[in-house]
Amino acid sequence: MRKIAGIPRKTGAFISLFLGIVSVVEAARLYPYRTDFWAGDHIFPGLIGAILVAAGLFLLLKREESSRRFVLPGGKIGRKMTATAGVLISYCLLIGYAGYVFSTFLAFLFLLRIIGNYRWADSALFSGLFTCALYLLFSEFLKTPLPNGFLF
Amino acid sequence: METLLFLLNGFREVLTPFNLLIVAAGSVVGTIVGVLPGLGPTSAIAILLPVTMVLDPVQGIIMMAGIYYGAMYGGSTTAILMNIPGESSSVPTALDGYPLARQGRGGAALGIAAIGSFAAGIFGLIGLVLLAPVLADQALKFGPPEYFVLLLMALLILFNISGRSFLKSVIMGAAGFLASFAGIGLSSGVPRFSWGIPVLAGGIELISIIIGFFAITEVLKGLEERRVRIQQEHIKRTFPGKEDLKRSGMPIVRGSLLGFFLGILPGFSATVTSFLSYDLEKRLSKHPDRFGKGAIEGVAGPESANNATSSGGFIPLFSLGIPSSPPLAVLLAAFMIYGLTPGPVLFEQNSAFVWTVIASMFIGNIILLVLNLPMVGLWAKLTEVPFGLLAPAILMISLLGAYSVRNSLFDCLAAVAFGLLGYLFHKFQWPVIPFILCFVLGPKMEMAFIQSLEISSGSWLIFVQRPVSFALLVLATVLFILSSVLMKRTRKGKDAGKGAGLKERQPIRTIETWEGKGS
Repeated sequence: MRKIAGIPRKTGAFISLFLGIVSVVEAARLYPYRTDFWAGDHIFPGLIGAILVAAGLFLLLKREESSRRFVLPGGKIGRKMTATAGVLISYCLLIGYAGYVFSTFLAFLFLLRIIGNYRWADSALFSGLFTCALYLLFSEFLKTPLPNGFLF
Repeated sequence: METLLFLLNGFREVLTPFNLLIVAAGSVVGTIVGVLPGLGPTSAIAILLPVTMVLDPVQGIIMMAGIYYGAMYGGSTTAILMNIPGESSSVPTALDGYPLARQGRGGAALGIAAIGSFAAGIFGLIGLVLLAPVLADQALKFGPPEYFVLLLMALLILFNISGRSFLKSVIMGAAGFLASFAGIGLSSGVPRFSWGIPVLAGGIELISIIIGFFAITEVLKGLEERRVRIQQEHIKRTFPGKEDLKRSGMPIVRGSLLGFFLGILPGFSATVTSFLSYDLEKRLSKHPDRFGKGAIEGVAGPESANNATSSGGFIPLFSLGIPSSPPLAVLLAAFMIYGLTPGPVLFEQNSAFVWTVIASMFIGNIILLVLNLPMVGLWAKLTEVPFGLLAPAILMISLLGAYSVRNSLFDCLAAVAFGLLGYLFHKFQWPVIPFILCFVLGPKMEMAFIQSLEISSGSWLIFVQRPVSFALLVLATVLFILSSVLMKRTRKGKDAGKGAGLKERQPIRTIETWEGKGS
């Protein structure tokens, strides 16, 4: 477990400042397309950008209100969460190339192994069932054209 | 009279076999998802939203409303039987519901919760029928400045109650605005915030944000909490006795009135009203020492207030387009995905749709009462579904759901990104509701702002010079202060609840952990 205090607040403040500046810069780019000084696509991004910069500065200068330590999961749980996120991202990248059947089966297989700690054989069985069930739901019932890859 | 005719027409529409099936399916599916550990009404609507896209808008929204009611009911079941409130508004229910369950009177508590929810739901719907058209009619007279101030008022008050830090809520709201800017500019038609990336020029899909924040984040939270299979207390009979009904009558009436009238004001969430109702019942009781140890009034009042507030919340949603709670914010998003814009013109342009949905809510409440009382034992069994099976299914349904809206893999990836962000926001206590609200309401607000300044030739005084917008600004200030005070009290109550042994989303007793399965 990693204990963090103050860092999330400061990180949030810097992200807020960064987003605010990005928004103001984009507002400046949109300024020539205005219909009036106060009317156009630039005005709201400009205002929101200014609010983000001001709020970021406030947050940065604000005194820590509590000594609460935020705890990020580490160890086995941390690895499990990272692996789950990894499977989800890989799935989104793989499905376009490998197609629905292969990538969904693989994603379920690994998720069941990682989250449920099921045996490989059980995971493969459940994975096959889930893949079929979701195919019926999305492709047959919802008529969603699921991606076809090099396999299926 | 005209309203009654519209409502009767709504009933005529909804009382077809297919629509009745949709209402029943929504209520049952909502209950099932609401009962599952860690999933409340917001997650239920988020996960199931893409699945309803195959239906036409009327049936889709009817189903969504049923899911909402069903999930609310499911949340109270877990609060009473397992001491796990699905939503923070069910915390007071657990304070007395769980002790009742431990005494072997879980069935009576569930029965009273169902009856209270039904009575309050129907009361709230009658209020909705009477008040929403009147409010919508008045709101039609609003010009862009009034509409801008109204949205600003709602956002500020909702920011105030969304998290522990107003500043963080403001930053999250501003970030939501920023995300809503991506795409084609409202007045110039020039792409903005896309930086030449084609997928961003099409804008960020709302469903990706909702699924990310409310489905993927929930699973990640469950992983961290090492969610387990849970054993519930014994239910025995689900019909409350004469004495229970007698004791609960007045708390149900008081809870309904309190929940409804406070619920129609922005800033008074179901959490606030259910705690206020619990407090009220405790103060009015001749034996306040029974509270926390299994007083049936402690279940009846808060459950009624909770449901009356939920029904009351539909009034600002339908008539003004303003959601007053997280599930309603997601429901607003569902309306928009279906191409409908809640607000004053909804009653004018889609009158048949609105009245059919309202009529379906009456039917949904009846179906919930009829189905749920005898089936409570079955719902409770659902809590034993292993998280290790449930979580992968939720994740994959969510990803494919995000994909199915535009058939875009970018939306899938965006859902994962928002899910990971949502987890970090939860971890570091950055509220996501302001982000969602500003993302949904951002374009409307921006348009109203630009139009206001065009009318006034750039003078900001337009927002205080017009009587209605000035009155709304004064009202916003009053409600802001009032909601701050009440939220402080509610947080104290919640902390006291935790101190009294209440565990949010933590099991009381376990059969086996999903960690220990197989391998």
